[in-house]
Amino acid sequence: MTPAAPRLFWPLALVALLGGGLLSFAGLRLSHEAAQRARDEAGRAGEGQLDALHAGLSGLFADRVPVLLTLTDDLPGEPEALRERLRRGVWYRHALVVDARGTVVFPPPEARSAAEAEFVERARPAWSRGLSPAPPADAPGQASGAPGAAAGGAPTRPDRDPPAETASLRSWSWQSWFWGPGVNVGFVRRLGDGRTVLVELERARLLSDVIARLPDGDADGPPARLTDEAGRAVYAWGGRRAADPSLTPARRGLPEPLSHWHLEQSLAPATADSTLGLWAGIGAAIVVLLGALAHVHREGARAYREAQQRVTFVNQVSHELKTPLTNIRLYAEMLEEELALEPEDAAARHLHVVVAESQRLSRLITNILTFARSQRHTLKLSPRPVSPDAVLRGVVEGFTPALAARGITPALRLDAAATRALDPDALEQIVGNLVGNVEKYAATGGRVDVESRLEGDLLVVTVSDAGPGIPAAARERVFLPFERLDDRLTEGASGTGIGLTIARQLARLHGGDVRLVDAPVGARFEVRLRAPA
Amino acid sequence: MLRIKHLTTLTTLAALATLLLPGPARARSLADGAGVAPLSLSTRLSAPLLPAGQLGTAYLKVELAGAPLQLATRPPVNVALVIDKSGSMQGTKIERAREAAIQAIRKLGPQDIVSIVTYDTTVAVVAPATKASDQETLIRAIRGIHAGGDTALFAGVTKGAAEVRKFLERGRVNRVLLLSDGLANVGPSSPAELGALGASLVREGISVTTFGLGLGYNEDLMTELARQSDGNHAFIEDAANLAQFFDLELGTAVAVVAQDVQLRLDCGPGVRPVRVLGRPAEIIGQLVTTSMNQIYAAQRQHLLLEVEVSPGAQHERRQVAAVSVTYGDLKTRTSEMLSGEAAVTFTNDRAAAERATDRSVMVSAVELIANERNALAVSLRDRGEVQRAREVLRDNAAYLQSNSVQLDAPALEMLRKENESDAENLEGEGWNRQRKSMRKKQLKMDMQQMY
Repeated sequence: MTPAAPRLFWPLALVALLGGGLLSFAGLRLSHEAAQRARDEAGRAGEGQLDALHAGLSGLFADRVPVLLTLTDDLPGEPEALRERLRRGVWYRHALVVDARGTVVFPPPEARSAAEAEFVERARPAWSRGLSPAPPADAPGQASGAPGAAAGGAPTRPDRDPPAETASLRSWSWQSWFWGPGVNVGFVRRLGDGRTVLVELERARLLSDVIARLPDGDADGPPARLTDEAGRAVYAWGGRRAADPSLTPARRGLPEPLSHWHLEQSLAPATADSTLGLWAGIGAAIVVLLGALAHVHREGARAYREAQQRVTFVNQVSHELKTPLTNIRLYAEMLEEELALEPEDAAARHLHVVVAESQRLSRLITNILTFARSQRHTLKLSPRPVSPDAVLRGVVEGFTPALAARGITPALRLDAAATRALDPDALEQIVGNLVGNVEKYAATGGRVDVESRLEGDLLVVTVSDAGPGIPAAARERVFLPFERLDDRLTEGASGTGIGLTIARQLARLHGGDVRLVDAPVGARFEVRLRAPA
Repeated sequence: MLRIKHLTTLTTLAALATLLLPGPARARSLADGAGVAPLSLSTRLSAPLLPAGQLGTAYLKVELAGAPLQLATRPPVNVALVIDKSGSMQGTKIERAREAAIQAIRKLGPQDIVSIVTYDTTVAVVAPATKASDQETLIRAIRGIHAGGDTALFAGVTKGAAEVRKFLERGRVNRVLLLSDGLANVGPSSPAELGALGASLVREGISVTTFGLGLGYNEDLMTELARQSDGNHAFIEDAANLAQFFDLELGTAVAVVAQDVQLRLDCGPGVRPVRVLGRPAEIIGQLVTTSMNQIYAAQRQHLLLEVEVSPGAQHERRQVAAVSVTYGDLKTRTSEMLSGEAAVTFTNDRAAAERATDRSVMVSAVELIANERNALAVSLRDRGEVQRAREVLRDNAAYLQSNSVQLDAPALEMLRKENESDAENLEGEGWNRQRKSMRKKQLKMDMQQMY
């Protein structure tokens, strides 16, 4: 040790300590701010979700207005004629009409059914102090209109009004009143002849229709619920992600006239983002010491985060797409059967394209959902006795129209007809992804060969093409998620970039693997699956 | 004893199910009975002859009979299986439920639509409405059902109905099959609220059949939901029998011959409609209306109306009611109409009036009146008035006995025995089971259900 060293030690230590302290402080501040930002972000996300649901439910009421206007147009004076109209209702059943003097003229006091008499009693709070369409005090311009409102004081959302009635002409409003189990809702309209009509929306049905428009229980995201006027939870959904108990749930009233009911969305913990805050703190220190390394690190974290977000988003979207797509497929297939057209018929060809494309979309979504499940470690197989060749034939058959459209001829050399225990859906998905890749990336080769054989307890399937092939350097990279050899958007080359990832995950889960093997031309993938007899 | 009786019922049910579920071979062997009207109407009065000069009471029985089964043309079904997977279903119950659902799906054909919804604290559409030919997907979905959580029954029915609604059309049998073993504890949970939901669903043509499993479910809620939506109901104490009931339910579903049946009775002057026995109906002034969501093959469904007839003169003929029925023919998908009428004649010959009594109408009336009293006994028992409930049931047994002799009706004798046995089982541990069984029988009688 030089004599200078002890003299320099303390100042140096002081500087280091001070510097370290300052950096830590800055890091903490940054981390704190990032956490706050994340909380705000979560809050906004929760409110965003509620906004979307709220809009959907506004539609529920908006859709009913034209129906109710038609129902009450030219309101028959003859009770039986009005009853006949009411009998056709699904979500309404009862109506009450008062004349200009405020006397109830329907249901006629002299001849009411037991149910009608009960309804008149139930609706008493609504009509006993005079029945007239009035704007609700707390929600101007929302669905219910103020009769005679000046054009200047336009409703905030004119798009919700039925086209035939402008704000100044509108003669109807929603009305809610308390009775029995809670709030009841009705539609009140003043008719030209001085009569006013109240149509009751059936409470149980209304709740049911609201619930039908809310997400299912297995919807992604933290728990959410619908509460009634007494604050009781009447429906709950979500919960696949945990909520952060320290964050106040986002809360929003339902659209008028159900503003007594509320949607509550608890907020997801900002874990990913608060780590980000921490990263930022540490990152600040690292920046001083190792600027270059920090740069690399941040880039990596960003890419990871983006990939994560992409998966979550795509997963949510896929989940939403599944149902409409199932319906499109179902209807198209039914149509195909029902029409029983000649194959050369133009309509038959068009329909065929619809079916083939919707099948393709189905495969895509199945891939994404499988990938999401594998990410959550909930992917499971259910092997049962099947003939591998039958499954393979089915896969290729499904692809035939799509392959034909791209000028690809499939050739099958199958030698695995014996019944083996395996998961046919997994096999279908694996081989489907491989053949799908040929269709997308190797159409130039003009052919795809699918071969199968059994080697003891193993099923071996190879899928080969005569396309451009895959460079040796990229052999393993193609199995990584979101990796495409060519990131340009080439014609026809559509996809999520997870097909091979999934094929390999499924195969490995099935006690085997998918590998890219040597081939004289093009690409050859070999699938090995454990398939005991 | 009880066990043996239960077993015989099940065997009968199983036989009925095999008969109703069309195997491909049987479907081919039966000729298509095109041209036969699916529904026929008959009207009968308990007293076609009334003593002249005095106020009279009579029962009008309007009967709709479904034509016999034509298996070659069974209608497609559109069914949502709504399965309770709350915590109480854990273990054997959920296993059996899975097996029963899988077995049911294997019985459906490519023309049928099926969806699977499960509920606990939340609701999951496990399989959205899809063609039943997609069996593997459906079965895989069912295998993934595991129990745990609360019981959001109202929302379960709601989401099941939403799936059925996707393919709602005339010519299909649209139905929600609800299985529950517990008390609804998320969302509306009163029989009235579930009944109101059922009543609105049936106006769209959707019936809800309810299966109560074990001894923990709310029988009032489950029977009311079935009653208001014109669905079936079963009390299934042992989960091992679930598959048979699934079979039975699908068997009846494919045997529907007419749907959206609307009945309208216009009572003539001098006739006052007093009440309708059994099923829900509406009386406004002289008009009586009711509806049935469906009528099954070879089934007889009736409306029994009590009327008060003001005094008439000797030989006077008076129309009691003009009857009109509209319904949808499931096979042709057309709307059809039937009409008929019923009239009384007044006579001074009291003995002749007595002799003219229609026994079959009287038997139906006695059955429904006794059924009403049986239900009254349950509500008395609910209020803790065990003794009064027992008296009501014993009186009921006596009433049934005297009528079974007078009308020479063995069916009433059977009911007498049941009421006597009910009277002996109002207390103790067995009451819960007893109550479920009584509710089931009351509903079956009121709505004249197939099982």
